[in-house]
Amino acid sequence: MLKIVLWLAVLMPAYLLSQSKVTLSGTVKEQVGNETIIGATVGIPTLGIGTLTNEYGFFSMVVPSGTYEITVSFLGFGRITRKLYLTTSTEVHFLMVENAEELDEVVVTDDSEKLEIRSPQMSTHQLSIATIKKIPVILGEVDVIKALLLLPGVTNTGEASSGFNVRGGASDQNLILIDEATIYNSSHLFGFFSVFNPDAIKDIKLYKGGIPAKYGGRVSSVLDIYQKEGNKNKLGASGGIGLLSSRLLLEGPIAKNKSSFLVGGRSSYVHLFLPLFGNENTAYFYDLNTKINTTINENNSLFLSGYFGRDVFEIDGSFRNTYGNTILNGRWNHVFNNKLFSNLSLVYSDYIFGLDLDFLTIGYESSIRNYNIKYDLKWYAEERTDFHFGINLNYYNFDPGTVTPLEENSGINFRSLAKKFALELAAYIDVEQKLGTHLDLRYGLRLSNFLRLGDEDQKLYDARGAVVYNNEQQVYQSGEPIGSEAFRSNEVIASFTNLEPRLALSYAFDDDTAVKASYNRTTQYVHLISNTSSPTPLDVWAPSGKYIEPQIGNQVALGFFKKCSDNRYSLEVETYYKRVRNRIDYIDGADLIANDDIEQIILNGRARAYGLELLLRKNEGRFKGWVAYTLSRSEQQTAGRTAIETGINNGEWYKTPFDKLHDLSVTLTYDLNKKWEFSSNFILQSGQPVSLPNGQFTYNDLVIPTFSERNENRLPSYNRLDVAATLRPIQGKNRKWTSEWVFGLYNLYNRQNTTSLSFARNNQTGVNEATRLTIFGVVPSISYNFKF
Amino acid sequence: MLRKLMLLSLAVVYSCEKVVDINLPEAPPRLTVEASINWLNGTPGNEQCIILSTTGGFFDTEQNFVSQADIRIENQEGTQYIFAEGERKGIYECIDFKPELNATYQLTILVNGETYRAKETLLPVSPIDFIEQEDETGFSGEDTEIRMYYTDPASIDNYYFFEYRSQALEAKIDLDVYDDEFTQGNLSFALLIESDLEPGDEIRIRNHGISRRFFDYLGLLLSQEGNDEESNGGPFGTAPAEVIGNIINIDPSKTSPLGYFRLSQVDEIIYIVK
Repeated sequence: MLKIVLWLAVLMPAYLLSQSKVTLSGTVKEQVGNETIIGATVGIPTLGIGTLTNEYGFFSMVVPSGTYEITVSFLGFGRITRKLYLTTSTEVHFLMVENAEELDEVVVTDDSEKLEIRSPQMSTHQLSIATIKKIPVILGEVDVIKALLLLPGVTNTGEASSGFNVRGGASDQNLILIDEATIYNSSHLFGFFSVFNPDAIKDIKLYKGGIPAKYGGRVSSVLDIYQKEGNKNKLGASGGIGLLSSRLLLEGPIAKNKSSFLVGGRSSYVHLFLPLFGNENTAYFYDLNTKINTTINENNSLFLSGYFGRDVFEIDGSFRNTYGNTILNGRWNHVFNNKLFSNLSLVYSDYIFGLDLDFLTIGYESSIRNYNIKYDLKWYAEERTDFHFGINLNYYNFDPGTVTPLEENSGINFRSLAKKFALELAAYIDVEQKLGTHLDLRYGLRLSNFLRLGDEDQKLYDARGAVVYNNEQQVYQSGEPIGSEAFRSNEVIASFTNLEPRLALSYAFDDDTAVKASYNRTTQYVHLISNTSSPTPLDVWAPSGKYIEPQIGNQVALGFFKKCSDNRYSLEVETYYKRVRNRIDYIDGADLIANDDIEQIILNGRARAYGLELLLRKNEGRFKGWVAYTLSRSEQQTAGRTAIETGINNGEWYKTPFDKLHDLSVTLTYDLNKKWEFSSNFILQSGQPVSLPNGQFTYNDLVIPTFSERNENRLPSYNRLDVAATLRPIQGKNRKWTSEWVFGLYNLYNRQNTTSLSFARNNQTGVNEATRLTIFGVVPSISYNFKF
Repeated sequence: MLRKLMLLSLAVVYSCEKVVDINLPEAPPRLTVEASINWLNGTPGNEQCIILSTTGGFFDTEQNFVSQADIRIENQEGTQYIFAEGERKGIYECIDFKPELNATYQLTILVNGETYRAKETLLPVSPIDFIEQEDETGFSGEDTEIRMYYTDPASIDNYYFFEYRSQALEAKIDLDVYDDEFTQGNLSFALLIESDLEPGDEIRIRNHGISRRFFDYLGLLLSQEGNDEESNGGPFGTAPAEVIGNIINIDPSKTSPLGYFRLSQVDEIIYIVK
């Protein structure tokens, strides 16, 4: 790795000296609201080169001086073609016009979701919110994560599970960013819905592999989400009314063309009707998205964004549960010159879980708080070379749980679990380089360092460790501490340093065909302590330290990419192999809630996943959509630490709950005319791995099922078909109000999919039974969306 | 517990349960030992019994009892108490057992040429001080809550096993375990929430003193028993595993039996629902 650094150091002066060419730089925005566009293509067809706008709509490219036709294109917008005479470095600001209203006449020919043949970036999916909004969803609630599940390599553990799994990774291994701030829990209502309000979102990008060096801290994937900035020209509103929740978003200029605001809210309201039925229980969620941005001058912009979301459950005053995320984020874009773009982010992010059990007179709260400073630069150094580099500093404050008595005469003692502190530092450099006409490279290096800090008392254990193996009973048990070591505030308890190389290359045979390969190493220093199939809201995050090693992931991926019939169709085939070291596993019967000594219940294991992904898209025309198929395996192993120990599951590899051997999804949309649009998706996948009982015995007059190997069996296969129709009533030419009705049917043929199987004795008949739980049969929905 | 409560709100919305036919794997039969020595307060505790059976297929309706075993329990002084099979197959009884608080006992079972052994201590229990009842409560607003109060001894970690038996209970029997992690040294309570209780119903409530190991063991058994969203494949389910008790085959290369050797002081109250 040192070699690459040295090599870069040698090359850099050479780039600085070669100034014989000119730089074309600027921004791409949409005309109506002056909203920057992420991922628009700026190209010079005659030179066969092009670039994409970055997260802030900025682009820059170095070209030989001359006269060129420049094209700018982006999905749903009319293509811009402009002739430019470039003798000196030039700055251009392109304004694009949306052509959604003219769908009948205009064939949309450019698509940000279309694949970039020459870019070395692979294993990536970009979805526009327009695409996501067309997908049929349960109860008509447009959902970012449900849309991701239709892509190859992305799964979850069933209909009512939270989070998502990328290429066989656990859901805590996904880095989820909103406007560059980390989200620690992406679900509302235990995973029925995700926390992203679709109206407030501009762009979504998922990296499943070949993760650029800019990103770090999670081993599986990066989901990078940007919120809209708000209309800079005029005041506008959009929203929707659904069966479960309603949304309203206001946006508009503060100073015209200079600054704007956006305020969006979403809330479920089923709870408002519950009292009508004499039900005093309540369950609801809400989100608030806010954003202010201002352009100080051509080279400086400021953004302030916030997110606040909560889920609230109350059961007849005896049980009250509140949880959610808060994000506050300030960013400063600074363009040093036409080749050097920078962004500084200051981010506060937290996740808080609170639970009051009145009938047990017990109150409980846990949280993770995170302060983050990021400074990212992109240097468009040369015609064929771009550099990304930056630093990232994260400070964490973990509160694994505080237990409080709710009444004076409560039998509960106040107890606060030891708070934990950590600092994560990272620096990276990433180079994009074109070599010849066929080969594009991207290579980078991320250096990360993690410091577990005091003040904290670290328990000490004897040579057998924090988890002790009882050889006689062949079980793991919690060890007894033999003492403790006190660390002062900010004293380093444990330190980890890792080098994370990233490499991606693309070999394009022509403009339509390429093979790509990538390798990435990623390190994860914080872990979600969870031993359930999918995370629950009460799971706590824990830092690496004396007893928890950082997870280290290595992934290689190989892909073949082909565009056909002038990009009407595209095909992506990828295969990957991934290994993760130091994946935590839990001893049987581990109690994770309010556990001060997590080290006493965890063992160090490893995980591996491999698979083949196919994605065939039709990008153009009235009839569009994609077919995604994944063949994959995801496994975990926790071997004994010594020869006599059994490990978990006898030390054998076992399937993770999110292993899906086959996963097929077909997503189609059809634009009939100006008024009607239809969409559907079909899903067929292997059932979830489970352990089925292999017998039973009677103990204390209870029937107890017995189990052997972990996740050796599967639930029946899962399939369903969803359909939706969108009606846009025709309006007068000058009416500013536009609206649409969305009618949907989830699980059209009412397939009774198995969410879980339980095994127990029927108390009436005395016979043992297997009981299937189905969460959703056919569910109709209707929702109304508006914009003005 | 927390997880279960949270899932209640979720499960009511759309879920649908149905009994289904399913083919299950079947493991070879395995010895199961239920050696529960209960010393009920106010009794000499001399009559005790131990049950031997084997596991069966999940849908089997008969319990397969194991006969002709030699079973004895030995105290620290070397006194042996013999458990002999009576008229009922697989039930081994002893009429001269002498319980002693905090004494350690060893169980030895010889059956089918194998020797099994376990050691456990007879643990004391806090008596049930009083019982409170509250009606029309719980999640549906129609449940009956019964609280059994007991005083947890300070400065040592205690574990409790509550057993409720009544014809009025939905499952006729209900078990629960408690520790004193958050209630060390306090007046604490065990909680029974039932929907079908009527005034005049009789419930036999027992509190047992148990070890940490049995607390873990029964907690695991209960998590793998019954119908709820934590079970197989449920989104909030944990992977079930073989639950090993404290009885081992003295030949380590051979399988240990399932079940547990427990000795407890037991406090019992017959409660009449108000």
